[in-house]
Amino acid sequence: MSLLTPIKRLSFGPLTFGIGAVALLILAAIFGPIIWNVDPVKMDIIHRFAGPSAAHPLGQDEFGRDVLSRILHGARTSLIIAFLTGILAGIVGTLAGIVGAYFGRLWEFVTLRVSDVMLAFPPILMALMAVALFGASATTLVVCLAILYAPNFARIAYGATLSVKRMEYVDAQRAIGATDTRILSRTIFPNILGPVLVQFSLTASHAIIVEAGLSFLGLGIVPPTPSWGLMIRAARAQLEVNPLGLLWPCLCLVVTVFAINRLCDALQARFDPRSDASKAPSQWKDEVDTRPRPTPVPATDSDAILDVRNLQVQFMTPNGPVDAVNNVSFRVPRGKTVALVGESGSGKSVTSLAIMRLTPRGTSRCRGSICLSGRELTELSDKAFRQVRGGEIAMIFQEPMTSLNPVLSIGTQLTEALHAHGTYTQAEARTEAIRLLTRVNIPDAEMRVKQYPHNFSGGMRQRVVIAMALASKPKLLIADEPTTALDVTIQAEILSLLKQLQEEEGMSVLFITHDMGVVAEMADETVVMYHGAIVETGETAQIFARPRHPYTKALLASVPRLGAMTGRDRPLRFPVVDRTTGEVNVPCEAPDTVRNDRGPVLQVRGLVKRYDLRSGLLAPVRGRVHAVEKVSFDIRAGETLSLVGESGCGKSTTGRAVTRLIESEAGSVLQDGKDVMALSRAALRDQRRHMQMIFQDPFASLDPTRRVGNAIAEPLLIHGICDYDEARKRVGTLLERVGLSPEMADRFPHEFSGGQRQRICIARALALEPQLIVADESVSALDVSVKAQVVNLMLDLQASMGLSYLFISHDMAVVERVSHRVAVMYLGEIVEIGPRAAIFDRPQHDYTKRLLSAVPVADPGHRRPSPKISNAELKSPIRARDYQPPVRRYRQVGADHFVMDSEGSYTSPSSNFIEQRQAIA
Amino acid sequence: MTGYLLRRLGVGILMLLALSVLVFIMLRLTPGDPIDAYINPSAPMSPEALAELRRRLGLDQPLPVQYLAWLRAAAVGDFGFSTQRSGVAVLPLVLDRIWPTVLLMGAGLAIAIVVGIAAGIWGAVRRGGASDLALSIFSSVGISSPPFLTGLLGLWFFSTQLRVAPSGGMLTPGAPFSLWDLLGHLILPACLLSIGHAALIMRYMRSSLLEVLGQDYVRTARAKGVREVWVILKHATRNALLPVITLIGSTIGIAIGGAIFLESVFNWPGMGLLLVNAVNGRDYPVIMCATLVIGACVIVVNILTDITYAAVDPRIKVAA
Repeated sequence: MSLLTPIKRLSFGPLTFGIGAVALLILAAIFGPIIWNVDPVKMDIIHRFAGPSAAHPLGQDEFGRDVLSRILHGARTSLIIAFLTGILAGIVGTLAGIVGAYFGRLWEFVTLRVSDVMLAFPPILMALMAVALFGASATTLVVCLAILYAPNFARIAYGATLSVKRMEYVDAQRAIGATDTRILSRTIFPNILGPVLVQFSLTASHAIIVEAGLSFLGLGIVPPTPSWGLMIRAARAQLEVNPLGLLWPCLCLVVTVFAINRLCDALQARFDPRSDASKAPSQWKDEVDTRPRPTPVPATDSDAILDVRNLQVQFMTPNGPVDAVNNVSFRVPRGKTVALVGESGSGKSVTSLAIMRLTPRGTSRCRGSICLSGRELTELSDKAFRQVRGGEIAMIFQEPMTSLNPVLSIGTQLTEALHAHGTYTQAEARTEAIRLLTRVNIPDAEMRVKQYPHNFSGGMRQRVVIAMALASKPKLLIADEPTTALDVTIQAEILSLLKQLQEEEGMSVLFITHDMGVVAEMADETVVMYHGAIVETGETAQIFARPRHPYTKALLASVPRLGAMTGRDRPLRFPVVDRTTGEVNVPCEAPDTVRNDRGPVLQVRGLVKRYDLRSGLLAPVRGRVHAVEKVSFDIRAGETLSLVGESGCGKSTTGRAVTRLIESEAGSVLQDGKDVMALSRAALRDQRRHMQMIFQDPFASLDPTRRVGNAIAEPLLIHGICDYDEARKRVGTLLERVGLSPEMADRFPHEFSGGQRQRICIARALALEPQLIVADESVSALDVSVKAQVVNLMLDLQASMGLSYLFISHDMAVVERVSHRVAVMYLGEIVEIGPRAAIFDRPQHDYTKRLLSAVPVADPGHRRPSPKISNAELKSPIRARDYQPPVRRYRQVGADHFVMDSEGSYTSPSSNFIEQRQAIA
Repeated sequence: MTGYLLRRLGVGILMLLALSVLVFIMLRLTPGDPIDAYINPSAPMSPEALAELRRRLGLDQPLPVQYLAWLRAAAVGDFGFSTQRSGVAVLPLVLDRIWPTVLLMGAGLAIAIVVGIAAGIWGAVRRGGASDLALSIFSSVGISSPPFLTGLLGLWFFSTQLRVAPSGGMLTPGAPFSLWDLLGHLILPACLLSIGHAALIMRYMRSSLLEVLGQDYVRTARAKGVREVWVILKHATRNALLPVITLIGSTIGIAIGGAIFLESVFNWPGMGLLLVNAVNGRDYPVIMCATLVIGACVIVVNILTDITYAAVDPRIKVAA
């Protein structure tokens, strides 16, 4: 089945055309001279410039030689030179590029600089010099062109390897103990083959052009060997006598290069997903829609700012139109906040884009009625609608890092919004821009207005976007996941800013989110969407207290709620709700898995990881990122320790340093008493059997070119645990264990959903039956309901296999569910560590308190008072070159509960942990 | 910004030095005695004088010392004599030919940049329409046509058939210099030179603009209610230009290749023609000097592209 899938996709597209055309050319070059067996150099002076005849279908040239035969042999010459050049340059350049990118350091420097220097000089110039030195010949040409084009391959292979190397599936290969050679040949190479093939066809077409050009100048192929360039050279000399002589070689040359270029384009489109943008998308075939139009009910509700009735949005795909939003009706009352909730693909964002008329033109179609203060918007012309868009309705978006134009200053982008909807002079617009920035609490607005987006952090950029939205004093603000990409403490600030602005401006807000905590915090009314339709609408408090629809119940059941675990010591599964019947399966507390009778599975002491900041390879170090600074902790068998903190706090770096995916500066990591840091490379690969990793992005942690069964079997084969047949059997068992079926082993990763992929990654990690799994943000990218299922799976596996987890996460609510103990990280250091119940119920460190209070509580009955708006951005762990980290003291505040303390008597946390452990044992 | 420029300049000088090493090694690889380059063949020398000259030129010294000596001579413009034309110093010969080439390439590139960018924007905005299709076909054929070929066909069509353009050269021989005469000779080769490049730039501009039009900040601009024409010209085009600027810089070498061929076709008295004649006549000193000068030009153009890039993209200043 799976073998057939790629073939089915190969319908008659540009790729088939390109391959077909080039194949025809190659066949003509190979078999042409055999079939048309006429000597291309046999002269017949008497019949020079003879026209076409039966014996010479294309006529004869200035020496009476057969033109057809010369053309066919010329094709051979061109293609042989192109092919040899491509192969030679490809092998040398690709190897250099891969090695340079993979091993870095000196390899990288040499590869890059050498190709830089070589690429800076015109290829034709170098070819001319080579010809001048070594004489014109086909060999000179091939060698010289191969040397000239190898740097192109090196650059392409380097770039592709670098981006593949960043993918988590390469880390995953290293984590299961694969050797570098194996990773390079079986993981990196297949994944960069696409761009290399593109470069090969590009080189081939260039080589043909250069060969023809040099031959044309008399510096390439030596006569009488037939070559198109030489034929053109001869035809030029005889242009007055025989202008037709130019026709055949020119035509052949252009057609050949054209065919190879088409192939190259098609390959590029096939391998580079970005180039999809240049293809024309599927358009609506007929503009006349014959289906009955849903009859919009005329809007009479004067109380509503926004009234959406029977909204339907369709997208045109290659497989026909798809309904993204179906028959959606809801209203936003004046001055209120309405939340549109749903998981990915539920149609909530499409709904908001449709209201703004921002769905892509030509490929989407909206129907239904959208009324703003009683005025029908769908009937407005584009020109009239532009006054509404950004004027009466403003919108802010999810990704603050990409929603501002990087090449225009903040001031320009703000004043533009002002000019679009009002009349301002330049000076007035500038003053107003500064006022708006001050309004969203950006300090130094006078100075900041001149800066560019890259000078602002994510939270600050989101404030700028909000300021832009406020520019025209809109009646309605649509906020599409405005805090999803931000850290919790920043999220709390942005949310309270939005609330405050809404009160002051009297705006209505349509808030689109997937986060039930944010809904509970912000919304007066809630609209739940599922598969493009609305399943439930109501007051937020009511929805949370008494959900009626089974999907709403399932959604709420799987939402992690901070504080839901008060009074429990052990982790707790999420309740499972049947989405169709709404039946709830109340979870039981996980069994006690922690083995206190044995020494810890993992002992980390004084782990340090710093990154040097410098501007070039030889430049001096300007400063250091103190990513991990003297981190120490223990994990016992069957225990889950969570590392929590915000982005940049060093939690992921700690996870990677512990598994030695990155080398650390200092510290020891004892795994079952064995020092991981002291192991040789081979011994480390062996040790990886006991310590596995699960990564964040389920779409990046599986090799797209490899069947999932092979991916799961890989660790078994690498460590020689069993033969291939036995491994296949074990793959089936493992797939069943993570809730998938054994038949799925033959599929490719793209055939699975995000949650399924994460299960596959867990199966791969389980293959070696490790003691410890480092789960780096493993459930963060998943939708709530899927997240709940994967967390349940991890808890079940811990119960049945006695696994220990180092659970790295920024999501406090999930951490509360799964952990036995919690360590809070801030700027590379652990500021507080202790039993989960103690940390969540009695947080001691200021940062822990701030972090916990920033998490939105998924309970509309318990809205926290708005926190004081501070402009505190996360401080950075970047320090001066000569910075000496202070000696930290840890204070014991409860059983096994330590907090960093600048005062207090000095006690080493590690020695305290050990004493504590011994006391327990 | 200044630091960035200085660094780019430093890299440029280093690259020129690298090229000079390369050229020097190749010069020493050439068949024959390097001293031939310094002898005026019209004035034969005695073996004693030859040995004296060899000693004076340091040709009896080890290679690195010779390189430094050669570099010192080259730095003050002493590249020896042409072996093809007796008694003609190389440098003035080469310098004479720079301006015609710069003129031809400059005109060709200017046409290519203006036409390519405009056509690219048009194609992206009218994606999937008839004009986009026509432009795409033009660019595919343009990229696939080698410059000497378009040159030959253009020359044949416009000069031989239509007789609207002169059949080559830069100025009408014998006639007094006039700007119109020069422009009349320039327009055809410059246009033909620009075809391939315009096609390439158009295609890059189109796909780059299409990619940018899908970016979040374009959506933000539209959501502000900015007029579509400004969304495209102010927000999208400026971002889309960035990869196109890089492209123009990195294909300057290919453009020089095209100019060399066209000069040969049109008998344009530039570096290309000089170089091809020198290669045909194995005139090594001229080849070496011309290569160095062209290399220097390429480096200068690359620095100019980097400056343009930095002017368009404010993020560069931070990276420097």
